[in-house]
Amino acid sequence: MTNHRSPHFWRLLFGTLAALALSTVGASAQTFDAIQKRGKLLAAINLAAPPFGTTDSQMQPAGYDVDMAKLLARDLGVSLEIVPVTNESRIPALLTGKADIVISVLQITPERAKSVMFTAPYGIHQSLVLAPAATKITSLADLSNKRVGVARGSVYADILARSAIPGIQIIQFGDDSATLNALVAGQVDAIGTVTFLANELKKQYPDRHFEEKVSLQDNIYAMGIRRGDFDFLRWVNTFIFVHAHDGQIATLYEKWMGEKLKNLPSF
Amino acid sequence: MRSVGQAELTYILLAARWTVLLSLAGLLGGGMFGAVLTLASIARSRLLRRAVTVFAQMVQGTPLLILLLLAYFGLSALGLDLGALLSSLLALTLYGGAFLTTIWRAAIDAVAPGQWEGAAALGLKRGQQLRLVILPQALRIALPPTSGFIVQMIKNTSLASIVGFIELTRAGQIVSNATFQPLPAFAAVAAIYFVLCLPFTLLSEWLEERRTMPTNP
Repeated sequence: MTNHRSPHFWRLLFGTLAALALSTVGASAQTFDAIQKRGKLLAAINLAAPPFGTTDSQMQPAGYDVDMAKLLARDLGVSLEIVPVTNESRIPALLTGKADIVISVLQITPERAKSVMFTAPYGIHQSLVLAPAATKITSLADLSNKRVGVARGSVYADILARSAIPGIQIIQFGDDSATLNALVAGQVDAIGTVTFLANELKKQYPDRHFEEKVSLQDNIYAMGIRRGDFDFLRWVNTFIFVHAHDGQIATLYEKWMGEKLKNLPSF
Repeated sequence: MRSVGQAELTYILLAARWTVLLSLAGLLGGGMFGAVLTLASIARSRLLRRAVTVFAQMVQGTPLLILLLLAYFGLSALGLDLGALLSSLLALTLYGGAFLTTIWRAAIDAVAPGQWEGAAALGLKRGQQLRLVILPQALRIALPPTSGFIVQMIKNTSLASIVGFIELTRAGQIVSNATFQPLPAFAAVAAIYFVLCLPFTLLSEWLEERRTMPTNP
């Protein structure tokens, strides 16, 4: 069902040429109808953001966001095409019609809501600060004058920047792997991350004694939809409501995050 | 914990197809566009020459990343959806053309003015002067910096990941994030870039040596 772009090399090549010929058609159609007509859902996902967007041992797209996208496409009755994006190109890809929806740990912020419409949340987890046991950090204020690594465009970057700790040096890395390895290499004193990644790192480097220091506020994320696409928004919200109720979202969440899903707030 | 194994290395290796395709697209597009610009830059029309200079300076002063973003997201916002491949081709063509025209124009300028005059004295028309006398000498001067630029171009295709290509560098990032082992992932990436760039580096060096033959007899 998943139609991942990269292996379908020639299809994209010719698809691009075909799309050029058709580029004047259907630009203004409502997304919900356009997806049905196309028979394909275009979901923007960052595949270098484990455990949300990542790859399995066969290098096929996998992760919480990928599973949510598969479920969404299944319920829509269409096939899924993952539009690979980076954290930076998530919203541009949506706004310029390269994707129908962003499913890529998009944290709900008033700032972002100026450019996209958020669906109901489909995930919530606590972010935390991870550091070697010997480093004394008991509160956010202790991060003062420390080098703290975060993945660029990630929620931890937002949260730490907003907490305005005096003298904190927030160092933004390209992705989670770079952030984690910066901590291992001693390039930073602490990192902002999630429980899943913290556990992975502790497993990989048991002798380094990394430990959770401070919990940051809950990170609540939703899917992003183009402004004004109310039909599609209503449908996705219904989808999230139904699967929050029947437990499928919680099952997928536990599978990838390794912890129970808290009650999803709604708005 | 997964490690970088055969599946991951194959993934990286296959992603190199995009790097090769983007490089070829950039070289062909940029090469042809650069040739047109170079001809315009030695035209009699002052306006045309000036236009080429302004264009080359503008594009050279713009990061390739921004050109890619403009071609992919910018044109889309204006209603022209080129898709990832064509917009990358457009950006790489503009980028390659702007740099190659500067290199090639400089190579033509490096041929002594006496060569133009001598060719004219033989009764050759301007087109013939260029084709028969100037270009063969300019070509020899231009080849080493051109192959140097090609190496730059190959490496810069990594920027196309911003428009959704999972090319060599992005594949390395994805593997690094699936395994949390950046070193083997990026070592493989670096090795493939090296293999792709090596022929051009060697060619550049070889041509550099051959250049000791007199160009201005």
